[in-house]
Amino acid sequence: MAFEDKKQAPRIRRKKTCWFTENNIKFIDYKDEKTLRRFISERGKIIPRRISGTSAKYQRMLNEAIKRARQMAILPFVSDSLR
Amino acid sequence: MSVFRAIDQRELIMRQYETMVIIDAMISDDAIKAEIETIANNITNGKGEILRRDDWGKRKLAYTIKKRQHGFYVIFYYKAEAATVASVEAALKLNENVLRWMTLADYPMSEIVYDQTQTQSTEDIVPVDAEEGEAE
Repeated sequence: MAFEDKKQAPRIRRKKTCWFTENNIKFIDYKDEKTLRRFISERGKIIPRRISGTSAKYQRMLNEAIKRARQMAILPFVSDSLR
Repeated sequence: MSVFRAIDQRELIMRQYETMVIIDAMISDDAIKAEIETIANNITNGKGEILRRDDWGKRKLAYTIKKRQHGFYVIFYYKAEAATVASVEAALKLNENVLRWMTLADYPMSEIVYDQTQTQSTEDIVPVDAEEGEAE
C-alpha cells in the first residue's frame, strides 16, 4: 500500500509546447472563435495549462479572451449538448 | 478638486475604442440597418470618428439572451472622447433591440472578419488535449 513500494517505470512524455509561441501569435483576440475553441473542452471549460502546455503569458491572455467571448455569446459558458 | 481636473483631462483625450453590439435578429432587416445607423450617428455626432465597421451578420448565439437564439453582430472601431462613449453606451442601454454590447478601450484592431461559411462547423477544430487526457 505504501506509495514508495511501487516502482513504476518512468513514463516517457513528449514535451508540451505552447501553441501560441510555436505559431508566433502575439495577441489573442476574443473575436477569434476558431483559435479559442481549441482551448476549451467539450463542456466549454477552459483547458488548464498543465494539459494544454500553453505558456503562462498566453494562458493569461487566453483566459481573458475566452471570458470576453463568453460574455458576447461567441463561446458558451456551458456547452449546449450538456445543458 | 484634483479628481475633477482629472476627468476634464480625460475627456480631451481621444482614444481608440471598439464596441461590439449584438442586435436582436428577430426584427426586420431594415430595422437592423436603422439600428446600426443610429449607433453610427451617435458616434459621429459626438465628434467621434469611425475607423472601421465590421458586420458579422446574423449568427447563432452560444446561449439564449432575452429568449433569443440569434443575434446580428456589428463591431465599430472608432476614435472618440470618453464622454461620447458614455453617451453611446447610454443609448445602447435604453435600446430594447440591443441584446448585448461591449466596449473596449485601446484594443488592437484585428483583421479577424467573421466568416459565415466556417461558422458552426467546429468539427475540424482539434482540441489541444485530444491526444493525452491525463490530468496530473
